[in-house]
Order: sequence, then C-alpha cells, then structure tokens
Amino acid sequence: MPDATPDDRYEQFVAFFTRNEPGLRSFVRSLVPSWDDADEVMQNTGLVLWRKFSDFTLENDPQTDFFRWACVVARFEVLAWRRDKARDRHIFDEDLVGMLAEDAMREEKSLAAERKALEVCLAKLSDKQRKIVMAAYEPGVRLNRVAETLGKSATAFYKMLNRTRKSLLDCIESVSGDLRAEGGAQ
Amino acid sequence: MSEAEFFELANRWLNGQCSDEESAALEKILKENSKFRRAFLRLTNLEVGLRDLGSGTEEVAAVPFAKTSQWSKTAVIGWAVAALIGVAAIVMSSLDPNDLNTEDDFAGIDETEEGDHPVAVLSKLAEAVWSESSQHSPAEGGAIGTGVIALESGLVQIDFFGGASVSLSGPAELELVSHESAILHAGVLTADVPPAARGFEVRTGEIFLEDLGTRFGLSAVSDSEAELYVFDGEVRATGVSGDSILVAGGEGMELKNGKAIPQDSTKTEKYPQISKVYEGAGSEERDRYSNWREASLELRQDPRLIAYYDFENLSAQTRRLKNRAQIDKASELDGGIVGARMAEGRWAGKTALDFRGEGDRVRFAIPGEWNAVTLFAWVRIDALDRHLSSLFLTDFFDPNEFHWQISSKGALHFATSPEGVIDIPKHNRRFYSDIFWNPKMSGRWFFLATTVDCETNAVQHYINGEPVGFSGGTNREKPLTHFQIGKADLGNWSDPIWPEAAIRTLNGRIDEFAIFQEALIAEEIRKLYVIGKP
Repeated sequence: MPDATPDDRYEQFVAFFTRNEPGLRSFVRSLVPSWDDADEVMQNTGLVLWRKFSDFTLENDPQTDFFRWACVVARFEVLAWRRDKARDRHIFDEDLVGMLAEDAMREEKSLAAERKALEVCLAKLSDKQRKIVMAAYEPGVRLNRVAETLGKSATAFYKMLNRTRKSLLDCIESVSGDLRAEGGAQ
Repeated sequence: MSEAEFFELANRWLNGQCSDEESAALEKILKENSKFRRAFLRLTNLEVGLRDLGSGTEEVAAVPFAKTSQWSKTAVIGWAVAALIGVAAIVMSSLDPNDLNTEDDFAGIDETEEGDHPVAVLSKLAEAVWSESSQHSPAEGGAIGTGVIALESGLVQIDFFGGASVSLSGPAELELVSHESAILHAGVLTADVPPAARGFEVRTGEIFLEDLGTRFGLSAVSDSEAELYVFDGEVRATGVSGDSILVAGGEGMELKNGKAIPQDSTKTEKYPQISKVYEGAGSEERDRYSNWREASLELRQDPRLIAYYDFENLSAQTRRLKNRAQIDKASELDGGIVGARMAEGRWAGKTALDFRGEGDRVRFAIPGEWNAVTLFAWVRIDALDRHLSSLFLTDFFDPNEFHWQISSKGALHFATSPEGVIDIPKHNRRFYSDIFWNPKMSGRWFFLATTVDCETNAVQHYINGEPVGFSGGTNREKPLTHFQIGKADLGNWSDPIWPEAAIRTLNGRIDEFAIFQEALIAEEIRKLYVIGKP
C-alpha cells in the first residue's frame, strides 16, 4: 500500500495484530515451556512484525496472510530464543517447531472458534471452579503459590486444574461446533 | 501412549512440572502423532483464552513469588507494541465482564478442608527436644496437623501423607503445609521422595524446591539463601525471580539471591540420615527399656502385689503369661493366653500381646478378698470400637467383683456392686474418668491406673501418671465393702451378663499389668509412669 500514510499503516497494523495476537500467542505457547518464555518471544515477535510491516504485502486474504506471515516470524523468534536457552533444559527441537507451525496455520480458524466458545463454557463451571481457574491464569502468578494461597496442596491443585482443562476442552468442542454451524447458516 | 497419558503429560508440560525426560517424551509423541499435535494446540489455545480472561480478574493476595511483568522491561521502541498487546488482552477480557464475580475475595472460598487435619506422622524420635514455640510436639507414631514444629535438638523423622519422608535435625523449624509440601524456616533437613510422592515441595525463604524424584538435603541459611545437595534424582529450584534451575544427583548448590553457585559436593555430612534417626532412637530406646527392666525387677518384690505380669520374652508359641510377683505359689496366678498374639511392646525388643479378635484374651483365676485394690496397665489403644473395651473384667458380675474398662467416648471406667447383677441401676457403683482418648491417639501407649479403697470409699483414676477427675457415673457416693476377682479376663469379658451385648474385646495391645491389694499413692503412680514411659 504505497499511498498509505504512516498513521494509516500504524492503524492497519494495530487492527491486524490485535485480531491475530491470540492465535499467534497460542502458537508460541505451544513451543515454549512457560508463560514467561512465551511473553518474551511474543514481545520480540511484535517488534519484528512492526519493523517489517512495510515489507508485508497483501495477497488474497489479508487476515489469513497476516497470520501466516506472523507465524513465520514467530517461528523464527522461537528458534532464536531456543538457541539461547536450549543449553539449560530440554526444549522442543526445530523439526517439531516446524510441524506445530504448519498445524497452527492450518487449524487457526477452528482454534479461533474455540477461543470464542471458551466464554460460554466458562460460564458453565461452578463459581468456585471458575474463580480458582481465573486465579491460576493471572499473568505472572506461580501455580504452586496460588495453590498455597487457596490452602491446597500443589498436587491437588494441579489435578483440579488438569480436570478443569479437560472438561472445558470437551465443552468447547461441542460449543464451537455449534457456533460454526450457526455461522454457516447465516 | 494412551490419550489419558498424553493429556496428563501435556498438562504437566503446561504447568511447568515436566522433567527433561518427560519433555523429550512429549516431543517424541508430538512428532509421531498428528492427532496428539492437534490436541496439544487445542490445549495451548485454551491456555491463551484462559490467561486473557484471567488477566481481567483481581489479584490473588500474597503471591510473593510472582515475577514482575515483562512489560516493565520493554525497550523504548517496544512500548507501542507492548501497549498493543495490552489492548488485545483488554479486548479479550471484555468478552466476559460479568461472569467472574470478581468482588468475591478468594479468602472466602471454602477450600480449607485440610485445616486442622493431620498431614503427616511423626514416625521416629531420637533424643528430640521440642522448643517452646513448637505448635505441635507429637509423640512417636502420632499424627501431625498443619503448622510449625520446632525442634531444639535431636532428630525426628516425619512421614508426610503424600509419601515423602523428611528427617529433620534440630535446631530447626519446619512448617507443615499439606500432605506434600512444607516450609523450612530454619535448620537442616533431608527429604526422601518415592515415585508416588514426586512433586513434593519444600520452600525456604524465597527459594522453592520441587523434588522430581528421590533424595535431597536442604539447609536454610536466610530468606534468600539456602544450600541444597541432591543425593539422587533431580530437584527443581526456583528463586524469587521465577527462574528455575534443575539440580541433578551428586550436585551441591549454594542458592543465593536468585543465583545458584555450585559447591563442593562432598560436604554432605550435615544432612540428617534416616538411618541415624533410627540409630539415635535405637540407643535412646535401649536405655529406656533397660531402665524400665531394672525397675520392673524391683517391682516384683513389692509385698503389696496380688499379681504382676511384665509380658517379657513372649514368643509366638507362648501360652502362659507368667506372674512375676514374688509371692507363694506365684505360678498359680499365671494367665492363659487365648487368641491374643505376640507383638512389639513399648520399645523395640519388648514383647506385648495384641488383642483384636472376638476371642482374644488372657484367662486368670485369682482367689482372695481385699479391702483395697490398685490396677495398672500399659495399653496401646488402637480403636475404641466397642460400647466398652475391656481391660480387666471378672467373669459375669458377681457381688464385689469389678470391671475395669474404657468407654467408647474415651474414659477409663471402673464398676463394682456389692449386690452383683441384682437391681443394677440401684447398686452399681460406676466411675467414669475424664475423657482422655480420641481416635487421633490411636497407636499410642498409655499408662492407665485406678486405685480403690473401701476404708476411705475413694476411687481415683490416673492417666499417664496424673490423677484425673470424673466425667460421669452412678452411685459414686455409696459405700464399697470389699473386692474379689476369681475368674477373670484381660482384654475381654467371659460369661457376660447380657449375651447379646457381649463383645468387648480390646482393640490394641498390653505389655504390662499389675494388681495390688492396696491403694497406691499418687507419687507412686507417677513414678511408675515415669520409669515406664516409652
């Protein structure tokens, strides 16, 4: 878009980035072992995307293409991060990073539908369950500290968390199917 | 790998619980199986959704290990993008503004069911001296609830219900948090963690340790400093910054201000060893046992004894419980062991009889008439699951015979009647002591004694050497005439008055029992307790 002003470009970037950020973050989180690592990679990815946004050319579907392009950048950032960290502990290798990147790009539509369905499914949890889950996902908290705050043993807390994830995923699967069906009927 | 196993592993990875090996296993299965890869992406996708919603809730109180936000470190150029990511988070969280009832305080969640419930057992004591600040000072075999145990000196072994075993060397202060976690406030410990207890956590100051298998030693130095030695297996240490390191078997680390400095890994002698706890406990136990044995030999000569049973040197074949009182025809008063099995007594090496089954008992025939009686026994009560549990009961309940037992509520009970079973409500003198037992004391040894004197019409119960009051009874003020025993049982009741209510077998052990023809004074009872306590 050669005629766009810098302000237009910025707004466009914000729109694309905001829309694709959750999917991108989900992809990054699948590749790195903690939220801190994911945040670090996302921060670098965001910077690179903005710097290189002028190179980004729109082809058929700008939404899909931005996501694909961002995934390529994020994958590169994960590999860069990996080189720094792999000495300390086991981190997924390059082959798996590539495979997950392919899958994430292919599955993004259905994953986006699943993120939307989460809201409905969370409402189906008991108040207590929901509060505990929300406490566990507060950015920056450590899970074993949350367990301690709630007076639970870490093991009991993890078990509960894993069970809740499972029931949310089951719910999401059926709800997101319904959402897509509704979308198709419109 | 089954779907359930995969899900468990993927969850561990997300929770940051995976060891390197587990993480490699996850990598392998993800590469091999596209179905699992998709499931994995769905799971991380859920994580993103939850985390975005989670950032919309109020803070949980007290999370001192929380890492400061990455955003604060954002470089100058980065601020715009950082702000954008913030915007995205707000957009996501605005999806669900009402469902989260964020006004509720998390403290209000009723999740404190572990409260006062025990989380561990004190399995061994060796020359242990509890400090005054200790919230618990359990006896060996006793359960310990959450809270701080403070040890001035000596060694103890604590078995957490989650399966981990901790040896603590005094002076030390350990706070028990749950079945699988504790905080070392001061001192040195060694933790032994079997596979089933993997994930056992110990915090010291700002340092968090998660045992990923087998055994480590930990020494608390200050809030931000600790020494760690991993004997075997792997431990994850996490500092206040949130950064973790894995420390492997054979490695020693000084953890200081968030840094890990490798240490001379040969300095392991300060960490208490379970075997030392047992050795220490063993020598202390042997001393106590031999002191009691000496006193017991002296006691045999007490002329006031009617009969005395020390339960020593029993074997599985023993059928005769020897009367050790040095009186004429002492062996006439030997007991006949029926059903009850030989078991360990108060100290390792001391024998006892274990009563459990309906038929278990020791039979006696003890002729005579007395104006006063003292009964004492060392009893390990495992449960009070009968309406009344037998200590020593004469057959039936003829005039001036007595029944010595424990009520289901946990009171020591003495009953006698000059009329026997005639018009029991009117004549039966019943004396219930204050309640002294509850199921938390299961497995603990007690010294139970009762003195009765017809001259002064006085009945006195003693628990562990201390006189106690009454919690109930009937006709307690009516005169007592004299006593007789005849045929009688220890740990059971033969020939009960009401056959349908017959079962009163003791559920526990006895390893010493005596009957005197006088009421011993309080000081004598106290001394007997002191010399015999385990």
